[in-house]
Amino acid sequence: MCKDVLASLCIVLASILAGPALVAEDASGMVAVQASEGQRQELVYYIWDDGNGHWFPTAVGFAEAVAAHHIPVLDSEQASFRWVAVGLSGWQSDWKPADAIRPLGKEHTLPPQIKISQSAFVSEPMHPPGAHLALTLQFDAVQPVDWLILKPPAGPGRFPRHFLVESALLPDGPWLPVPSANFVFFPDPGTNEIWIPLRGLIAGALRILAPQSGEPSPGEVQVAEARVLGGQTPPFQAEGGTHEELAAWNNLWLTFGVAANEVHQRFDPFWETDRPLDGGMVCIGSCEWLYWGAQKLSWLQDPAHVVRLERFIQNNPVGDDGLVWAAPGSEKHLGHSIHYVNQSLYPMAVAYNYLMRRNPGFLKRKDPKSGVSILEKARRAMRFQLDALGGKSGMLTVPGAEYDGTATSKGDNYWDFWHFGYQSAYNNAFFYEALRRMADLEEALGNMARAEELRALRPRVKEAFNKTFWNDDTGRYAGWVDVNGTMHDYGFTFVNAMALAFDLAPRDRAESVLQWLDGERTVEGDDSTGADIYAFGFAPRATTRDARWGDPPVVNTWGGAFDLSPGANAAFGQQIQNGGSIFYVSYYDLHARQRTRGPEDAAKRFGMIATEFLKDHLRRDPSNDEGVSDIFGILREFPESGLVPLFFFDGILGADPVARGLRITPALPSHLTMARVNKVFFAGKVWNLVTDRDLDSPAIDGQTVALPSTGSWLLAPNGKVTPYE
Amino acid sequence: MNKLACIAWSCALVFARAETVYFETFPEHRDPSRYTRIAQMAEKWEVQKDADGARFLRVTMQPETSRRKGLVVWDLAPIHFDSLQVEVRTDAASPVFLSLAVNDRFGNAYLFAPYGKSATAQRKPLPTGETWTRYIAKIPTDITRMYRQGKEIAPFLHGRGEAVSDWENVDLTNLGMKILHFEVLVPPNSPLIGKEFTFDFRYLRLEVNR
Repeated sequence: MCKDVLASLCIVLASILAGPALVAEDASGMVAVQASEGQRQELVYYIWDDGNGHWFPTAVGFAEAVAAHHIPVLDSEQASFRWVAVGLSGWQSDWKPADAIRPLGKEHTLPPQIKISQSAFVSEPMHPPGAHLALTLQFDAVQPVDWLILKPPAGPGRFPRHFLVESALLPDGPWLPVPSANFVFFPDPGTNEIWIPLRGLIAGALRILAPQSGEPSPGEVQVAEARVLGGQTPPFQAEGGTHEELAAWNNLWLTFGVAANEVHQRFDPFWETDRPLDGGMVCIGSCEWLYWGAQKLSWLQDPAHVVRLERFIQNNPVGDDGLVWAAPGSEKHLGHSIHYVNQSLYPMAVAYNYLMRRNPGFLKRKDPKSGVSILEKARRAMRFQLDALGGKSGMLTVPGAEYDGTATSKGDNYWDFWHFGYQSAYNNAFFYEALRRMADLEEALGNMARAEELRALRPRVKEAFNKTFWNDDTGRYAGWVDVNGTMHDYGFTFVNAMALAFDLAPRDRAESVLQWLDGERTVEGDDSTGADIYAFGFAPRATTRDARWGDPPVVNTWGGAFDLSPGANAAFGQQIQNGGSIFYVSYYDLHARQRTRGPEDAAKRFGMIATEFLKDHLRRDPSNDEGVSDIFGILREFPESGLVPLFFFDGILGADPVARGLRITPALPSHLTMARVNKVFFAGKVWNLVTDRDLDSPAIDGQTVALPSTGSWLLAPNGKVTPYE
Repeated sequence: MNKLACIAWSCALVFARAETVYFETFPEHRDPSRYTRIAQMAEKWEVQKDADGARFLRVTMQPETSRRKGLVVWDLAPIHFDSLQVEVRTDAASPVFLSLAVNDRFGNAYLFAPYGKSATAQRKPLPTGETWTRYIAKIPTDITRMYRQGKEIAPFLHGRGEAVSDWENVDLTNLGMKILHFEVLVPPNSPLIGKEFTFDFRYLRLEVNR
C-alpha cells in the first residue's frame, strides 16, 4: 500500500476516533477538521478560520451531526483553528476554538491558478428584476476547478450576505448551482479570504449569484478579487470528444459517483438527503447496494470510502445456512421481504473488491457477531444458491408460498413493487454474473477446482435462462415465471438490459430486445411504445406495460397505499417501478448496447444522457399527481446512479478485475482516439490507464499503462502487461 | 414554556425587527418541481407571470364530493422562522378556505389558524377575483394545535400565545421547519364540486424576529 494511501487512512481513523472539533493533518498538507454545533434544529453550515486570513465554509447539514471538512495548510507556522456555525435563518453560534491542535509541518501544494476574465457584480435580468446580482468568472478553457477564492472589499458590510456558486461550461449557460456552495447570512469576513472547495468540478465559467433581500442594497455588494485554482487532471480524459461530453462523464462521476459537491444532511455521503436538497450519494450500507458500491469504490485511491464499504461487507450477516441478510439486524429488506438476490450480490461485492485491491486481509476479516470471515460468508452465500435455491440445475428457484411469484407473494429483489419470485430473471441474471466473479476469486486464491466447477455451470444457467424467460410473443425476456408456470412480462427494461450486459442473450435475441427498446418495433399490449420508451431521456422507462393489466396485478400495493387506477398515485408513469424510471438502468443499457451493437450504439445513447445531464445535472425529483416524489430514481437514496459514469471505466476503457489481474478490453467509439482513467487503485498501486488508437503495443511509463485500442490486455498484480487470453 | 418565559418572549416581540429568511419569487434559475408538490383535489400547477413580470404559482383544483381538499406543499431545507406570509388569490365563484399545517424535520406537526380566524372570529372564505390576499401565520400566536409523533399536545389558547399545558420540551425559538402544507378546502355541497378553479400563490416569505 503506498504512502499516500496510508496517510489518508490515518486521517480516516483519526476521524473515527475523534470527538467534535478535532484537527488532524495528513501527509499532503491537508487538515481534516470536525465540528458539531449540536443543538440547532435548522440546517447549519460551518466556517473554519485558520487564523491566517482564510475562511473555509462547508455545505449545510444537521447541527447534531459531526461535520468533517478538509482544509489546505497554507502556512506551516500557523496552527490556530476556530469555527462558527450559521443557521439558515441567520442564527449564528459563537466562534469556538478547535479542541485538539497540534503543530503542522507541511504546507499543501495548491493547484495552479486558472486564468480568468472577471465581470463586475451586475444585476441579472431575472424575475423579479434586480433580485439577484451576479459576478461571472470566465476561463480560457473548460477544465477542472478545485477552489474558488473570494477576497472581500475593504470596509464592513460590502461582501454579499447571501450568495451561491453556479457553474457552466460556457458563459451563456446553462448555469447550474453547486449544491455545497450556497451560503446565507454569511458573516462579515473582514479581511479574510473565502475559500470554497469545488473538488474537481469541470467548468468553463463560474458565477457568484447574490440574491438580494434589501440589505445591503443592490449595487453595493462587492468582491474585491476572485481567484480560481484548478486545471489538474480529471478522473476521465479523452481525445476526440467534445468538451461537453468529457464534462458530462466527469461531472456525472463527481455528482453521483463520489457525490463530492453535494449537500449531505448528516455530513456523510453514505446517507440520503431530503428534498429539496437531495442529490448524489456514495453508497448505502444494505446488502442490496454492496456490489454496486464495490464497483463504484474499489478502484479509488482515496481509501476513505473503501474503508466504509469494507466495513459494511464485514458486518453484513450471513446465516449458518448461508442466507444473506438484508442488513445487520434485519434478515428481510425493510423488515418486509427476503431479497434472495442478495445471495449473488454479497459474494460479488466480496469478489470485486478483493480482485481490484488484492488485499488478503480483507477476506480474513471476521464478522463481529458470528466470527465468520468475509471469504467464508461469500462461499456460504454461493453454496446457498447452488443447493438451497437449486442453482446447480442452472436455474435458481425460490421455495415457499411467500415468494412464489403470484399476486399473493412478495418481491425478492430491489424492484420489490413487483412480485419477482419463484424463478426470477433478475436474480438468475445476477446469479450468472456471480458465478463468474466467484470463479475468478477462487482462482485468484488458488482454488482452481472450485473455480472450474463454478464456471462450468454458466452455460447451463445461460441455457436455462433463455429457455425459461424468453417470451416469443414479445421478443424480449420476461421478469419471472411463477410457481404455476405463468410468465410475467411487463416490458421490464432493466431485466432485458442486464441480460444483454451479462452476455446471457444470443445475438438475435439481443437485437430483438434493442429493437423493442429503440421503438423500432412495437410490442402488442404495451402502454409505452416508440420514442416514449425513452421519453425521460436519461434512461428507459422501467416498464412498458401498465401493472394494472395483471389479472390480478402482481404488485405490492402496501395494503392499498399504491393505487394503480388512472390518475392515482401508482398509475402508469406516476410510479417509479410502473412506467417511471431509475437512472442506474442506463449503466446496463450502455453495456447491453456496446456488447450487442458495438461502441457506436453505446456512445449514441450516452450522448442523449449527456444532453439531459447538461441541462440540470439531472437534479430531477418531480412528484406525481398525489404529491409523492416517486417518478424518477436519480437522487437521494439512489447511489447506484453513479454506475452510469462508471461505464467510462469498465465500458470504454473496458477494465474488469479477473482472476489473474485487471483485464482491459478497450472499446473506443469512433469519435474518440484516446481514453484515459487516472488514479486507478489496483493491487495496492495507483495506475493511470490509457487506451490509444495510435498504439500497436502496450507501453508502460511509471504508473501509466498505455494500451492499443484493440484486443484484450491483462495488467497483472505485479505490474506486467500481457495480451489477455 | 413557563409563564415568565412567555412574558419575556412577548416583550421581545415588541422590540423585534422582522427579517426575511426565505422569499419565494419562483426565479427562472430554480426548478419549482424540486420544492413544490400538489395532491388531492389540486390537479396541476405551473409558474406563470403577472403583467408586471412577477411570477406566481397557479394551481388548478377540481373538488369532488369525496375530495374537497387540495394540498399545495413546499419542501424546505429545514429552517427556523417566526412568521410566514403568502399572497393568494382564487377565481372560485363560491367560498374556499385556506389553512396551513407545518411539519418540522422530526415529523412534529403545527397547525395554524385558517385564513380569517382570530380569537374572536371564525374562519372566513377567501375573497375571489384578481386581488391578492395576504395570509399571515405567526409562531406561536397562530398555532392552534401541535402534534408530536402523531399525538396532540399542548393546544394554545388561540390569540394569546399562551400554552394551556406543558411546553417545557418545545423550544419555539429553535425549530427546523421542513414542509409547508397549504390546504384549500371547499365545503360539502359546494357548487364548486365537479368544477375547476384556480388558486394562485406568490411571495411566500418566512421571517424571523431579530
